[in-house]
Amino acid sequence: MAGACSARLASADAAEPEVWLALSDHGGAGAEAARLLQDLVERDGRLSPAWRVGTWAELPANPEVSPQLLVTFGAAAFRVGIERALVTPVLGRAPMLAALVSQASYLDLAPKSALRSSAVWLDQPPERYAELLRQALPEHRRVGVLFGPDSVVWRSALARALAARGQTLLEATLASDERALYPALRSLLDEADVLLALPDKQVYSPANVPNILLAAYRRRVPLVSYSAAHARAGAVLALHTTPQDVARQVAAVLRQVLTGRGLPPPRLADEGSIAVNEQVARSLGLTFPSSQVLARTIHLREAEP
Amino acid sequence: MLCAGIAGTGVAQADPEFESEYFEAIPTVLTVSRLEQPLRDAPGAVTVIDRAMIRRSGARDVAELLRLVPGYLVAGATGATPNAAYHVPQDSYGIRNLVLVDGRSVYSSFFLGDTQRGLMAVMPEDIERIEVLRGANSAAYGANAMFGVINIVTRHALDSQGLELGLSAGSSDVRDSRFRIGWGDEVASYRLSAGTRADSGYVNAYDDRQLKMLNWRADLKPQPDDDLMLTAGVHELRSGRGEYGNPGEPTRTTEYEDWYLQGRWQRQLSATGQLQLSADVAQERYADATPYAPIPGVMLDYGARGQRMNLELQRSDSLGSDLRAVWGLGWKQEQASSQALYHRPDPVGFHEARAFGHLEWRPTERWTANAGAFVAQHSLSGSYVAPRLMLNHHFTPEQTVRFGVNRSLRSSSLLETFGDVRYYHSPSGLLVGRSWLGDPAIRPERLRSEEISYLGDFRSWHLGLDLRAYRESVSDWVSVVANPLYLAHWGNPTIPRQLFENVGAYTVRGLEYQLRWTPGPDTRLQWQQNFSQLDWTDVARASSNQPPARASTLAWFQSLPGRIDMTLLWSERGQMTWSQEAQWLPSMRRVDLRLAHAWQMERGKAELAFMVQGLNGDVVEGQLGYLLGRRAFLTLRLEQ
Repeated sequence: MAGACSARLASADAAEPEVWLALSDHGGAGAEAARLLQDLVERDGRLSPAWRVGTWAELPANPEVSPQLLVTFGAAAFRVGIERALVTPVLGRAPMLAALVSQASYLDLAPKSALRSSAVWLDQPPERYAELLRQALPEHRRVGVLFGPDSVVWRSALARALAARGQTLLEATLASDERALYPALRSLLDEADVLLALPDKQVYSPANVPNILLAAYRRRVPLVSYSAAHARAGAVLALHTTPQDVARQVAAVLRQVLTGRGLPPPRLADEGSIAVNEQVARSLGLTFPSSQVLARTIHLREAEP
Repeated sequence: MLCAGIAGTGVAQADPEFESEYFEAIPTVLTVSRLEQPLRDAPGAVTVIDRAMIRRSGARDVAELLRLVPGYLVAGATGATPNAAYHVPQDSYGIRNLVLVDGRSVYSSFFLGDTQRGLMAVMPEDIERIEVLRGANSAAYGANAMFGVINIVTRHALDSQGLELGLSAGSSDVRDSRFRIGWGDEVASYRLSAGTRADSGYVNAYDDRQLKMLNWRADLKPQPDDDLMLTAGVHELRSGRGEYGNPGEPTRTTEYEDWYLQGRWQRQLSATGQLQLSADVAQERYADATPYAPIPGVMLDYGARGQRMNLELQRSDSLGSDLRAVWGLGWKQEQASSQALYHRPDPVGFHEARAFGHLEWRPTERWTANAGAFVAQHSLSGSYVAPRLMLNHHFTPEQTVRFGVNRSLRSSSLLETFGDVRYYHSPSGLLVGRSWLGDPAIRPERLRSEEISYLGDFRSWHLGLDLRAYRESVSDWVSVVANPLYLAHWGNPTIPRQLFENVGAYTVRGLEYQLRWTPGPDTRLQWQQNFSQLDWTDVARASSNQPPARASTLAWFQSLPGRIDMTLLWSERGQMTWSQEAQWLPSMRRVDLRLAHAWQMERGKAELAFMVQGLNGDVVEGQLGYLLGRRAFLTLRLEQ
């Protein structure tokens, strides 16, 4: 582990702007996004920052120079980053960009600090979901959404976006009571033509997802989700943010910061990807254009292999 | 040096975060084995009636719902015997339909294999959807899947939790009630529903009906890969029978009771494989005895008891990326006992062992081939094979053409085989006459059916078209015929008056279609027609079982402002004969209108509906002289 850390540090040079990439752990989406980010910036060639990449345990505890930008990948890395920045003034002076976090997690953590921070949120804008539904499921006009504490903030924006496209939002809001999930889901499935899942750790917990997928399929109501994993598990479609999408957006922020234009305000995902579960779609009698065509029609960058 | 701080940092491990779940793989829930075959790949035409349509139709029983399926003729010989038949008005009891409720066949054993009581005993409110497989289907379901399979899927117990109360009242003495309670969680959920249906039937007919139903369903999930469904139910039907002013068919009240138990266990063996074991048992009792007025001391009696048992093991799996298979084994036994119908103290019955296999092959995106066969060893009919081949060509992603041929059959009922109805004088014990006589050598009816069908789904126009052109040839048709010896030996009580026989063959050709159009979010229109022509090989039967040359139905579902929901059902058909008596029924039109208002309550929802059946006036449905009078009723439904 120390070897990996040293190897990454080999390119560090006092003359180069230093960018720290703080990971929640070594594997997974965070590490992938960090690697893709470095590849993108290096391929672009205009900037050649000195990277420091690792978990917080591997990054210097007491650096001498504050990095020009500190990017955290995942909510855990962001949380530790805030803790570090608060106790380490050198780090506290560095602008911090939270990547691979949901808006809900970011807003939950960020107010605790007076630090300069921004975010590239995982969440897709509600308009994009509405557009995807219109393009892919034009007959499914009554869109059911089960809101939880994290996702309820999207309610009015989503209702507007759907209404603008001739769709209707049917909603149920889940209070903190876990047992209320199924009654709320049942009444939504009674009325809705399609169920839209928005990121919410209480509603779409790993324990709940299988039951929600089964319940929706029993009623022949397609589920459109924010997660590619859900599409593999049984949702017909997902509009999701990949590590690659995150890397691209972070690269843009990085260029902005390193060229002296300051840290932009937090943004929702600029890009997204579409996943289609063809078997489930076929079984429900739904036919979609390919994920690439769908991505184009809702103005997403064409998915790359 | 920069890495030196690592050892001492000691940052606490953060809790698992939602973002990691965002990317984390979760097991595939809707595996191929759990997915149903889409309509475009199905080996035949299928019409699905979903829950919304069931509710919006205002139907009080399933037979009425079949008006929404192209090709179906719906009417009862009396108001107490609602019946539906696909293409050919074959009989008054629905004996050539296969009705499945959650996979359990609901026909009656003791008489002719009637399905009409089974259809009545499912409350529409408990149904998730009805899949009607239009056309013969013995290759998948064996004997009795002769003219259509009515596959009723009731709601999963987890989807019908809480309380529901429904009350209906109106003219024709309509008095319906329903109560449902559902409880449990995703590991074990239960539903108990109880209901009554009552009305005074057709005008001029002695056919009052009082039906009581109690149905239970449990859905258990002991492990993520196991699903266990248990159902049970008990029903009691009291209905009027007989004709006013006909001493030979006196008016009286009949009683029918039945109960059933069913279990179905499904295990997901892999992403593609499933094993299913199902079993059910049912018993029924029918009481219908009345003095025969013309001869004092003689009773008319049609009472009987029946029982059925069925076991099946089914396995499905993918045999390759483009090949799926379903195969299995089954065994069933049926028994009936009735001194009145069979003139013997011991039960009559049969058993059947079966094996079936079905392959779905999708060599390219454009083609789906379905081939299957059902092989059975029947203790009365002997062995038989029912094969099927269907090719589906998806010439665009939205359009499919099917070509298919299959052979089906109906094994003869216990009455057709063993029937021996005799009338005795009491107390002298003298035989005074015989009516029906079955024939142990009677051959099963056979059907060869060929079809070309089309399925189009034009999403940009919000339009769907389902069309089927068919040619169905039946041989060895079984019917009751007058015994020629009876007249020759007039007065001899030992000569039966009527015989069950294989009387002939016919071919029915036709075209049916259904257009579905949803021009806006609040409007859904469905227009269907069936054009058919039936030709008997024996011209003497030319006017028996004649379908109307044309039958049409328009269903218009409209959401109106103020949470008002409107349904208009308009149907018309040409003249036809329902039964072998060659009784021509005049052409008819019927209009039904339903207006409903739904509202939310603090702890649930409510709906008040006003339904008028026969808005355009009284109509003759299934028998001359009997009229479906204009009937209006209110239904209040509360759900928590």
